Amino acid sequence: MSKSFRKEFPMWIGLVSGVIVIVDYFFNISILSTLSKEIVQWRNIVAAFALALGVGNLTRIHSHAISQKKEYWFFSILLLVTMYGYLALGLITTSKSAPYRFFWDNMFQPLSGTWYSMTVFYMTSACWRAFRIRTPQAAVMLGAAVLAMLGQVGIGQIMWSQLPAIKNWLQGPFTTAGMRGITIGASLGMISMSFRVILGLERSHLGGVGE
Amino acid sequence: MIRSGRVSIFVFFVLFAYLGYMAMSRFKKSQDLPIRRLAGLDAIDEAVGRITEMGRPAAFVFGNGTLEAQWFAAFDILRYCSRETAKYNAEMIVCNPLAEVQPVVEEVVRGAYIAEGKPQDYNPDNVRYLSDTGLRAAVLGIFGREKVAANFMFGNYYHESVIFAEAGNAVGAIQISGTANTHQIPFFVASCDYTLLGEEIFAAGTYLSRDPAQVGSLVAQEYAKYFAVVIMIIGTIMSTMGSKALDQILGR
Repeated sequence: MSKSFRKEFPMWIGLVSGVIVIVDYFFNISILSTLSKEIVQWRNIVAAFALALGVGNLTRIHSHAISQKKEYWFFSILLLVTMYGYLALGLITTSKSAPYRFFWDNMFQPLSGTWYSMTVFYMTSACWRAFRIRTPQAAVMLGAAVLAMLGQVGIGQIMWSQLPAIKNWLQGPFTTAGMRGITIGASLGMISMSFRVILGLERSHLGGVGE
Repeated sequence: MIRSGRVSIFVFFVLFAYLGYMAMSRFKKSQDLPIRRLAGLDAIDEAVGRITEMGRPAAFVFGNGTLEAQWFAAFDILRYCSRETAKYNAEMIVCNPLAEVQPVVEEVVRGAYIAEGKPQDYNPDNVRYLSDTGLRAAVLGIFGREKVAANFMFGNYYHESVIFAEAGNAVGAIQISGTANTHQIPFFVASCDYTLLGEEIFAAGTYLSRDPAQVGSLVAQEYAKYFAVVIMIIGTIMSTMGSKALDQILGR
């Protein structure tokens, strides 16, 4: 397979697929609708196959760690045993079986929930850093944040009944306007980026193919 | 034949494509590229210099969100970061949460090493698939064990933004980040040294490559922004006067 073919072929797949999906979005043409749905389904199938590549990557990295006795290599054993053991359990007993659900409900879900809960501690430390008054702008931000936080909790309402209204006012015209400004810019950026990818102007994702 | 409710979007789409084409034609042969300075991207060189001097690795962490345009923008930045680290014989660990992009990520990093003439230095073990649920624990583990000296965070970020940014801060890494997800930008601004805000992440590839053909699409983007501002001003005035004519036109 020539280098230029390896470079151009993925680009043409992207171009044809992208044009079909975009034209289908705007025009009601039955054959294009069918093709567009097929392309979106293919994406899911490709993603499912790619999971095997991910598993292969983990296996390779952690096998190296074990064979070379790198630091914390025993955690690599734990990872591989857990990954392949749970995969085998799912394949043998199906994902609706009691043993499979046991590990899911009693290990995966609580651990996952713990990670989400930990976000609050990181948010607190981020706020601590952000609210240090080093500039006049930071002082304004701190003032607005204090009003917004007090307006959100019950004690703020007890302190001053107008605080929730002030919080809503800060979050309304100011926050919404700022956020929407950024969102409009980002949306245009996304359109522009998609154009570049579909037209083959953006080729970083093709990596070193053809080089 | 055109779908109901999408006429105005189609007109805007065609206009945008035309502007992009015109701008690309104009800048193709021009050397005067009108891109303003993006401090966050200039700081990548500084960060790579830092990891080289300190002899510690950098980390490049993608966001945990689904595959969309921000990922492609992050690939551009990854390619640049990989080329810089390859140039100075530094090490960078790439943390990827999505299986479907793993081959792409490996190819981008490998391509960067090839482009620098050092394919033998490419270490596939440094491009790690960490899964979407395992990403948080794995990245924090890498930060702690490897004592990363620089942390690049780009892409489709959700709540993990604040976790990674604070963890990177705790190990003393210089941090450069960027996302178009507005609800995560404040966390990056609070915790990172440099942040690309919203649309800036999409301009990164053009900024780093300085490809005149790509500049055209950026110029079209700017014109589209002016157009959106004009529409908003007209809409505000008409809405204040009680007219719904613009709503009806845009709703077609």
